[in-house]
Amino acid sequence: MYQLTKYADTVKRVLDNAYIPLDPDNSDYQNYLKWLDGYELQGTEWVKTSEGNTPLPADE
Amino acid sequence: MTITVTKQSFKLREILNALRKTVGIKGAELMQSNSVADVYNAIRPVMYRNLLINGGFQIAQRGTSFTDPGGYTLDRWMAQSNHTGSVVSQQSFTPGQTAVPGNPDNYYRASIAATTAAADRVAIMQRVENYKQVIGRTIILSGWYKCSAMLNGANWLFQIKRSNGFYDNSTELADPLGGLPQTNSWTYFTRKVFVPASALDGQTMTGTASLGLVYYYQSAPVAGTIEFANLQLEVGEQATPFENRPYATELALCQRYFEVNGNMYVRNTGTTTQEMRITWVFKTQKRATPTISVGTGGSTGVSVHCATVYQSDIAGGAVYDTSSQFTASAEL
Repeated sequence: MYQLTKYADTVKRVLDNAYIPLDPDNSDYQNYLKWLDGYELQGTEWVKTSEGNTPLPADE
Repeated sequence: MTITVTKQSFKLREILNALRKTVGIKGAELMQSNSVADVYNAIRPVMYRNLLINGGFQIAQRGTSFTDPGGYTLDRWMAQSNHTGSVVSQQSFTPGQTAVPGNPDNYYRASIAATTAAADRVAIMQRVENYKQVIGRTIILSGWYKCSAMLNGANWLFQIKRSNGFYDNSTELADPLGGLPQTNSWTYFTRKVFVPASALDGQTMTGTASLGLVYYYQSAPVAGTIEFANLQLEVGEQATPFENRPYATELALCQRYFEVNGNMYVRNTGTTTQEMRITWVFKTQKRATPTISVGTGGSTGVSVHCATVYQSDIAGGAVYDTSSQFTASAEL
């Protein structure tokens, strides 16, 4: 699960409170894009589980 | 007057043989060199020939033991499994041991839980950033291992990976010799593979493309361990002795991909509630803009050089203490 942040240059990975920059060369950002497309990492495989995912809104 | 000179007879082949010097494989190349460039090409693979980083398993910024790992463990080494009960750890050699030459400090151990599920897959891997240097060349992996577990479906994979996916988006160059036999003694091994240009498969390579080295197995009927020491992956037909780089150099190489910093704090010296910020300048420039993990608060303004860490709503006179280490990850 991911959450938008009040700063537009990062997205938060809720699981470990990690802040992911919107850099296409960042592996975590690539994983986020895949998650947006509806994929989940199950073991060692990406599995399509939905039509798409939506991040949580930023905290006030 | 006639002067007669008599020469001793000789055998030309014996004289030529006497002139022949005993040289090694590089000696012959050096003696036949006609330019500085020829000499350089003959001796070039002296330093930085190990494409793997932390092949000696000394660097452990994330810790030294990982239960059921699902990502990076010892620096640059990733472990993935889809069953529980595995533990990856850094181990220390006994000083003076001679089973593995070169007096290495550490080795890698994966404790393997018994599993017979056919769908299981456990993998130990490292992704090498500069995959381009191996295209059209032979690469050779060498190192030492012990394996007390009976591993089914074990194999080495050399992958040209187009993105950061685990098994997708890659061309696999399987090791024709298969996995490693069970043994309770440290055993030297090599594996060699040619990487053809066709491994790129005409596909677009992303910014996280890499050369992946993977050791995987599918099941272990009985629990046990597999251990590795001094792993080296290099370009060439023949494996060379393990390259011992200085600890500080190896650490800096690791920090291009992951860096940890001690916790920091800042005091709000004002009287009103404010957002407090800390700028963290990295010791080493990162491969890409890194993901920042902090104990509390958040991060913004991240670059390959530095990051800003913040905490909102810090009262006047209060301290923003991150309470834990910061990490910056730009892993492949």
